[in-house]
Amino acid sequence: MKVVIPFALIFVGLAALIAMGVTQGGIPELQVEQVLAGEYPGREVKVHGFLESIQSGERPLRFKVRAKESPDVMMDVVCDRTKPDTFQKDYDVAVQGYWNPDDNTFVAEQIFTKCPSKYEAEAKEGLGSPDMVLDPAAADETSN
Amino acid sequence: MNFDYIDFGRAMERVSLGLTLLVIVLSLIAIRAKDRRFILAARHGMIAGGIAITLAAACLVAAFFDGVYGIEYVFSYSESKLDPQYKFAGLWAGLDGSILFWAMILGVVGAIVAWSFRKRGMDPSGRRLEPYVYIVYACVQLFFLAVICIESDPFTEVSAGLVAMLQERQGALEGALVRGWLPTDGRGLNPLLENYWMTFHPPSVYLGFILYTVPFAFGMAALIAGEFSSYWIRTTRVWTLVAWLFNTNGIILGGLWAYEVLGWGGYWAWDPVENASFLPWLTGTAFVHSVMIQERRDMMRVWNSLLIAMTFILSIFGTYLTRSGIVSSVHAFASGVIGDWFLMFLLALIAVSLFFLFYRMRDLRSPNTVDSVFSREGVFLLNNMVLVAIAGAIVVLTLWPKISMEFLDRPISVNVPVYNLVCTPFFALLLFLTAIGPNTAWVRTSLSRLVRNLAGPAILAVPLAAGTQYLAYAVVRGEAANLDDPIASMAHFYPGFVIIFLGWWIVTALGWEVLRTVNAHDRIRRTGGRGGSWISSFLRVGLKNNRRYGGYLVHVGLAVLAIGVAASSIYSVTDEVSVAEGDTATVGPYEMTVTGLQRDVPVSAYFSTKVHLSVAQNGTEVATLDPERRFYPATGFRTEEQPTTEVKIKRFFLEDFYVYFEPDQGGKYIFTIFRKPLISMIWLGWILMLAGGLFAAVPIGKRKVGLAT
Repeated sequence: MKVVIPFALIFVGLAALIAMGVTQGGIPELQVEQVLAGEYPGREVKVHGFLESIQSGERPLRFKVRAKESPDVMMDVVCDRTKPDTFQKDYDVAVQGYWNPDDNTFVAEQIFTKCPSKYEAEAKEGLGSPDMVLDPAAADETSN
Repeated sequence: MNFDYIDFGRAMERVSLGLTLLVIVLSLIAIRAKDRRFILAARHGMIAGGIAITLAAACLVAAFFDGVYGIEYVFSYSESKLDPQYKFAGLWAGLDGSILFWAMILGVVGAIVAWSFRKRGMDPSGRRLEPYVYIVYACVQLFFLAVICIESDPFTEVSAGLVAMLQERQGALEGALVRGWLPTDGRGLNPLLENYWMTFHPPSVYLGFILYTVPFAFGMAALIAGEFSSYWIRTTRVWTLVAWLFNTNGIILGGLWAYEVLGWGGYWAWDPVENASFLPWLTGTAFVHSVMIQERRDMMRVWNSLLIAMTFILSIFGTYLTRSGIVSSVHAFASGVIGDWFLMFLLALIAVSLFFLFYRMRDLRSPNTVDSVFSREGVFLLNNMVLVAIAGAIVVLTLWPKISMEFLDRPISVNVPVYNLVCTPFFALLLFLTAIGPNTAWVRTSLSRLVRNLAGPAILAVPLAAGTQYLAYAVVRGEAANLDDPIASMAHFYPGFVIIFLGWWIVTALGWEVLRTVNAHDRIRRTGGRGGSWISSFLRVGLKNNRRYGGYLVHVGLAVLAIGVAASSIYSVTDEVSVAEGDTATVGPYEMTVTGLQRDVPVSAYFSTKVHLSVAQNGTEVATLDPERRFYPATGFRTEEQPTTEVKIKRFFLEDFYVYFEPDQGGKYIFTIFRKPLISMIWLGWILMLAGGLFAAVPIGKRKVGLAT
C-alpha cells in the first residue's frame, strides 16, 4: 500500500498533465490537400509535403509545398524566417502555421527540415535498381 | 595485387555471423550436457566473432581512407579531399555503417565479457550463468549481424543506376553506358556534418545504447537460469555505470552540437531522436539507483530485472523510432525496410523479457519491504517511479501522432510547450528527491533528523537562488528596473525560482553532508592521536567510499545543469538587427559594429562570406566575432549545392553572446543574436556528471557493500 499510493498519485498526475497538454497544445497534422480543402482555416496546424520551388529566398520567404500523394497539388507558403540550410527542392518539409483563405496562402511560423544525416533513404531511391550491380572486378580495378 | 575490400568485409561479416550462431549452439549443448568444454568453446567463439566483425569494420574504415568509391556507402559519405577525421567518422555517418559500428562494439564488448569469465576462483553463480549470458548476448549480436548481412550491408557495390546517373552528369555517357566505369571520387559528407562533434557525439550515443546490452544479458541470463542472487548486479555494476556515462555524454554532446552548429540558439527540442537517447537514460538512471536497494536490502529483484530489460528495450525502441519513419520530425529517417526488422526484434525482446519475468516472479520476491518512506530505499523507490513515469510520458508524447491517428482518426503532434508542461513538474520532484535522498538512512530516518539536516541547506539555497536569478534576470536580461514593480517582475522572475532553488538545495545539502562526514572522520583521527590535515581526512573519506561520493558529484553536476537549463531558457533574450558595413547597432548592453566584409572567398570545397564584428561594452571592445555563411556548389560528384550558416559564440562569464547572419539584403545584413544567461552552467554540470560517474565507477574504494538492517 505504501508503494501503491505514491505510484497512483504520480500516474494520475501525469495522465492529467498529458491530457491537458495534448488537448490544449496539440497541433493537427495535415496533408496539403486537406489544407486546400479548407480544413482548420485560421487554426494552427502542421502541414507535410515536399518543397516544390522557392519564389523568394529573402525574408519574407515565399515557396511552394507539393502534396505528398498528389504531385500536381501545390500550396503557397509565406514565412518571415531565415531560409533553413537544408531547404532544397524535393526535400521533405513540414510547415507550422495557419491557412489564410483570403489570399490562399499558408502563413508559416515554423519550418521543419530534416537533419542532413537522415536523407539517406530518399537519396537511395534515386540511385537506380540495386539488382543492376556492376562487375565487382571492374569496380576493384577502377577505384583502387 | 589489389586488396578486395568488398570480399574481405563481407567475408568477415559472415564469419562473425557463423561464429555467433555457433556460440548459441555450443552454449545450449553446454547447458544440456553440463560439459564445460562446450562453454570454453563458446567463450572462444565469442572472442573470435568479436575479432571478425572488428576486422569488417576496420576494412570499411580502410576503404574510406583508400578511396574505394566502388562501395556505395563510401561513395555516399566520403570524397578525396575530406579531412581524415571525417573519413574515420564515415563508419557511423550513414545507416548501414552505423549498424556495422553497433555490431563491432557489441563484438568487442562481448569478447571482453567472455575474456573476463576466464578468471579462476570465480563465484559459482558466475560459472553457472556463463553459457546463459552467451546465449542472450549472442542473440542480440545475431540480430545486428543478420541485418547487416541481409538488409543493410555497407559493402554493397555502387548500383548501375547510380553509375549511369553520374556518367550522364559528367557528360561521359556517349550513347551507351560505359561498362566497368566507376566513380573516381565520392559525393562527400553533407557539409553540416563536417563538424568536430560528428567525431564524438554519435559514437558516444551508440556506446551508451550498446553497453546496456551487458547488464541486460546478465539480468536475462539470471532470470532464465533461475539464479536469484545479486551476482549479476555486482558483476555488471561497472558496465552499467560506463553505459550510463556514455549515454549521458551522448545526450549532452548532441545538445552542444545543436547549439553550436544549427543556429537556433537552443540545445534541446524534444525531437523524437533526442527523446530516443533520453528514454534509456531515464530508466538507466532508475536502474543505477535501484540496484543499490537490492545490494543493501535484498529487495526489488523483480523491479531491477524489469528495469534493465526496459532500459535495453528502450535503446532498441529509440533505434527503431529513428530508422522506421514511424513518426515524422526534424530528425526522423525516411521509412525503410530496416524499421520492420527493428520492430520484430523489439516485439521479441518484450515478449521474451515479460515471459521470463512472469515465469520467475514468485522466486524473485523478497521477504523485505520498504519500512518507511523516510528511508534511503523509500526515496530511491519514489525516484524510480518518477523516472519511469517521465519515460512513459515521453513515449506517449513522442508517439502521440500515431496514437491520435489510431484513436481520434487524425494525427496530432505535440510541441516543446506540451513536453515542458508535462515533464517540468516531475523534473522538479526529481530534484527534490535528489536533495533529500543522500540525507536519508537505510531502513528508516526520523523526520526530525531529516529536517535538521536539510533545513540549514534549504535556507542557504534561498539567497543563492535569488542571486542567480538576479544575475540572469536583472544583470544579463537588463530588466533591473522591473524589480521595482513586483507585479511586472513576477511573470519573469518566479517561474525559474523553483528549479533554481532546488538545484542550489542539492548543492548545499550535499555540501553539508560531506562536511559533517569529513569533520566526524577528522575528529576521530585527532582523538585517536593520528595526525593529518582536514584535507587529508576529506581525501580519505572520498577515496574510501568513491561509489557514494562519485554519486554525490553526479548529483551536483545534475543540479548545476538544471540551474543552467532554467536560467538560460527562461531568461534568454533574442535580438534581431539590420546593419550595414561600418554601422553600429545596440544589442542589450553591447554596441555591435560591422567592421568588415569578406565576400565569396573560395576555400577548399566552398565559398565563404564572413562579416567581421566588433562587440563593445561601455566603449571598450570585449569581443571580435566573424560569423560566416558558406556555399558548397554542386561540383564533381557532389550532386546538390548546400549553403551552411556558421554561428559564432562569445562566452562571457554570465552569458553567451551568440550571433549569425542572413544573406545580404539591399546592402544590409540581418543579424540574429541570442543572449543566453548562465548557459555555461549546463556544460559545467555535464563535466561534473562525467567526473563523478568516472570516480564512482573506478574500483578503488575498499568499502564492502553489505546488507543494511
